Amino acid sequence: MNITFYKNTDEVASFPKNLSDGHLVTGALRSECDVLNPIIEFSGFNPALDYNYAYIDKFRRYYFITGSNAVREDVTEISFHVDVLQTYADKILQHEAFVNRSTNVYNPWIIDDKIPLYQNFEVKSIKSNHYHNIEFVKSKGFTPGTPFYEFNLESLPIILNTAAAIKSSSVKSS
Amino acid sequence: MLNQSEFATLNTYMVGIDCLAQIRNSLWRQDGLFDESKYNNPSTFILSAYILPFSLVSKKADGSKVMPNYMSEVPCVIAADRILAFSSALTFNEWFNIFFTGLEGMISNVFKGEPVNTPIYEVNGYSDSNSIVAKYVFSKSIINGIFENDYTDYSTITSYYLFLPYIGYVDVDYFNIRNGFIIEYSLDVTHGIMSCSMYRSEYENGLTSEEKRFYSTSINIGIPITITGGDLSIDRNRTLSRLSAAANFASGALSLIPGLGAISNSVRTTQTSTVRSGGNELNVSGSRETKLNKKTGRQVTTNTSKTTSETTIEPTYTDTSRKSTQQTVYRNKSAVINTGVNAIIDYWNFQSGTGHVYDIDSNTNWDSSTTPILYARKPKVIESTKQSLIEYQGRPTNSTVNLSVCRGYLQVGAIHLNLDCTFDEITEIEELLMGGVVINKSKSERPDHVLDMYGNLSAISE
Repeated sequence: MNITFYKNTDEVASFPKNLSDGHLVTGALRSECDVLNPIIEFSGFNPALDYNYAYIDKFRRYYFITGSNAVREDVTEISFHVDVLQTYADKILQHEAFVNRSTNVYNPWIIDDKIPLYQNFEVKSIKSNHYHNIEFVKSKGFTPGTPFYEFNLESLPIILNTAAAIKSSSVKSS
Repeated sequence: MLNQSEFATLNTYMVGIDCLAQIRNSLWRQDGLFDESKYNNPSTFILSAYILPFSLVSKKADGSKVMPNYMSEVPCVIAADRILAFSSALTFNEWFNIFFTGLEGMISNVFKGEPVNTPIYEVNGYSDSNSIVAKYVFSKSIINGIFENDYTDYSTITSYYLFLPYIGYVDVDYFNIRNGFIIEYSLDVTHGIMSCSMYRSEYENGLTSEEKRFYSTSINIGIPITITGGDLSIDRNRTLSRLSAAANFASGALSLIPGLGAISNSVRTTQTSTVRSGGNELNVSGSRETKLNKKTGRQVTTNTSKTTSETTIEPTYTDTSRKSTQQTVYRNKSAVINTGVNAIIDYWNFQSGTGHVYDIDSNTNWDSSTTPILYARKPKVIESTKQSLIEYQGRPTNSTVNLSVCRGYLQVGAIHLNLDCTFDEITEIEELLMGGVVINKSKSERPDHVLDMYGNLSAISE
């Protein structure tokens, strides 16, 4: 039986884990052992001092080191618990599931009550990007080509005053 | 130089925006400018007078001015954003005599503008209406600037309101604006009634048969004109009665902040210049000028400097009651009072006493008074907090997903596991997945995917 020990720094409930610098230990199983929660004695080696994770090739599973007991001099009893996520990582990721929440697959239109909205508001504003289009709706035929005349603002008072004066003088003369 | 032959009966004349008051002063002058055997009141031939929230004149690149073809059966004067429409009872000669007799060669800086072709639609079924339609387009692309494209855009979280010139602020719903919308002012030139519609089109390129109108109002806003005396033509009666009725409606019109300001400018100018000085402020013959004692607020007849400028009535939106009080004082002290001016003052007082003026956004200024503006008032989200929360607890998915595209935090709602493992292992896997796990994959391996409103999944490219 080969047991490879690792130092795992990933979250317990995460997978697939990044495992490196494995330490291989070879031995023979001498007594019964639970496959999902094995308890294995090691002589002359205490893996719990340097490692927290293992892979047992005979069981084809990954394990957390959950406990360590010093039985006697140079004999240590190590408790393991199967890491089901890591063991079946590839197969789990092939499944389809109804997902409630996800970091990278999301529906932005569903209200998220976990995001706090603050009391202070911001106001955004925009103007129309087309000034206007003018159309004419006419109930009858139209007369095209209507010219127009624009009076300079400063001119108009002079115009009106002059008009009044001219009219006044013409009325007097008549 | 203008001469009489250049004026046609159905011409349109445009003057500067502040000349409107001058034009009206000329109409109210008691100096025999009119043929009084026919018209004993200058307002007789005014069919309607109103202010547009848009201009009909635009400039070409070379600076020349153009105006769309305007088919009209009534001669009218367009003063920038405003129109005075006169009834067809006024002949060309009378119309010309009012303003231009003897002025050939006296007029400087007069520009003759060229008409340009614009869409013209003939509508069956309308017997006597001619309308100018102006559209303001809020395209989808520009509207996206105020959206977050997530649930915070919903109207339950973000408030949307639209500032419509001469209407005020109206609440709008997110679903009616998210794909763009069009605001259409339609001015019935004949009857002086303007309506505003807000609608969205199912197609971005303009009006289609699938347009859906979801807001409409009538704007019976005009420059007040007297209803006493004069020749009461059918058309005039109809229009004037509408304007009178509009006075009741106009209690809401005080929410027309730019319109109010615009109207009040012309009204104030007209009132102060006509009432206090007997004419305009530029020494029309026969006028009398008075001086205002600013401390006491009393008129003093000293024939000294002009008083109009000293009163300095700012276009403040909320202080309307003070303005009308001043004008009431002026009326009492002036020797030149006519029914037209009194009607203006009465109308103005009525409005100021009963209407409600919205608080105006501090960003609104005169430039925006004739431009629709869309506002979005939304709660703040601290983006850094949001991003860290997403990494630790994800975002709502609520959909069936293949786990091969997921990364980061994952919480499963339901899963049917098909694994060759023991019962205890399957149970533990389900419990872990439903409690929340982390998939250690990089963003490059597993990019973000977004579900749209209809549940369609699409990857977001970097």
